[in-house]
Amino acid sequence: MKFRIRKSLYDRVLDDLRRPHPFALERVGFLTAKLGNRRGSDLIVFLADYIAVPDNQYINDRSVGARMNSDAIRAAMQHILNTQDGLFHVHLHDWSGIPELGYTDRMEIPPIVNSFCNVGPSSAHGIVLLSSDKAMALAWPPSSDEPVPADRITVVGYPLMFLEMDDE
Amino acid sequence: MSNEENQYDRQSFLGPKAQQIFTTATVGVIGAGGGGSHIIQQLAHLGFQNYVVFDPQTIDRTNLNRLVGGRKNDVRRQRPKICIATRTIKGIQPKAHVRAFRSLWMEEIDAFRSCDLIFAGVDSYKARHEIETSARRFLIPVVDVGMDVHDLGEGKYAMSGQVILSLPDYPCMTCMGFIDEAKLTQEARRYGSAGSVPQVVWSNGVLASLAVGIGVELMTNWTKSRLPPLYLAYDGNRGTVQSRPILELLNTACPHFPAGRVGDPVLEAI
Repeated sequence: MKFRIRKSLYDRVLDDLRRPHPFALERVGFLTAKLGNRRGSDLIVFLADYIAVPDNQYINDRSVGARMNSDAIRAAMQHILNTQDGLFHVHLHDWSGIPELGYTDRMEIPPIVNSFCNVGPSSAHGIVLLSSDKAMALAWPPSSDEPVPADRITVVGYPLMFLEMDDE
Repeated sequence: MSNEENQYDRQSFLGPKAQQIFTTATVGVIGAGGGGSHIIQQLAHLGFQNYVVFDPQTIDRTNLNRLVGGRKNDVRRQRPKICIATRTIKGIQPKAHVRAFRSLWMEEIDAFRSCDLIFAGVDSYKARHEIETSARRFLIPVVDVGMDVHDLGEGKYAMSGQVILSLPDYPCMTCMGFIDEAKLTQEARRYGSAGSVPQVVWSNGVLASLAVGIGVELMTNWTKSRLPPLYLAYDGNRGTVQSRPILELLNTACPHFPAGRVGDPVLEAI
């Protein structure tokens, strides 16, 4: 599965996720997504917009990098209901190389995505994890219980950037 | 050093990742005629390995003045242009993956969407507008190539052309003033009565080379420039190329293709 994102949006996401938070160690957000090639063989996910999580929707929990409260998740689900957009949880591991989901990520984000799938079953939802120069993504396509990893995220702009999922 | 490395030694200044990008990226070429045949040949020499080529036509005798790779034998056999394109690519890159469609690009929309970069060598404003509209929706940069020879009367002619990069987040061809309603309307009125369009091999070659240069710059940023070359205007009589000044457009969001309008078209709630 391929992902595409405009460079201006990619830069905006990185800028927001790098902002210090009053108490959380990192930031999280949501990328809205549209699908392409619904009837074709290779689904393409177009990351269309970014929704930052407001400072007051974080829980002060020093055992994790960041934890959202229920208002953040409710707002995200309401967005899906209103727009039928897909929604991808996004955060940043700000070093180079292919990022990997940590234990907390693997335990806590998929249930949130499952809720998104229930609210917006006709869209793809999932997880995007960025590093300073690469990325990884998992998408739950419509009518699928299993996530599909992204082959590549293309950052469309100048220059064109291919965030490969494999190390060279 | 392997033979493979030797092959690209002279273009190593493009950057350490250039050949990896050329190996994995998928390039689309719409129109495998006068302009497209040059582009295809150059992409193959550069080392690109994944191609999608669209052209519904077969070669005819009037194409032989400019279609790179075309032979008299191809005319006799009424060979499709995509077959000549494939032969050109495979002659340089035997392992290349070529998906060639003897059809219009919109008839093979999945293949169109799979491209990372599209080179368009089409004749009309309408065709350009259709390509750009779909490419913007699917976040695919398009490098458009076109040329024309204008009859000035009294046996005088003016040759001109352009290479335009249509890139999401940047001005579109309408923003740049290259496409407008008046041109589309005028072209629609002329439809069917335009006759054959004058074309020659050297101007196609100049424009195709500029287009490939823009594509390579877009993928490698070897010049380390901060702004992409968006609109190059060719004066074939003087043999000059000028970059059109469109800096004032760069701070304005394109109103014709809103940023959020991406992916498959769907009915939206009002």
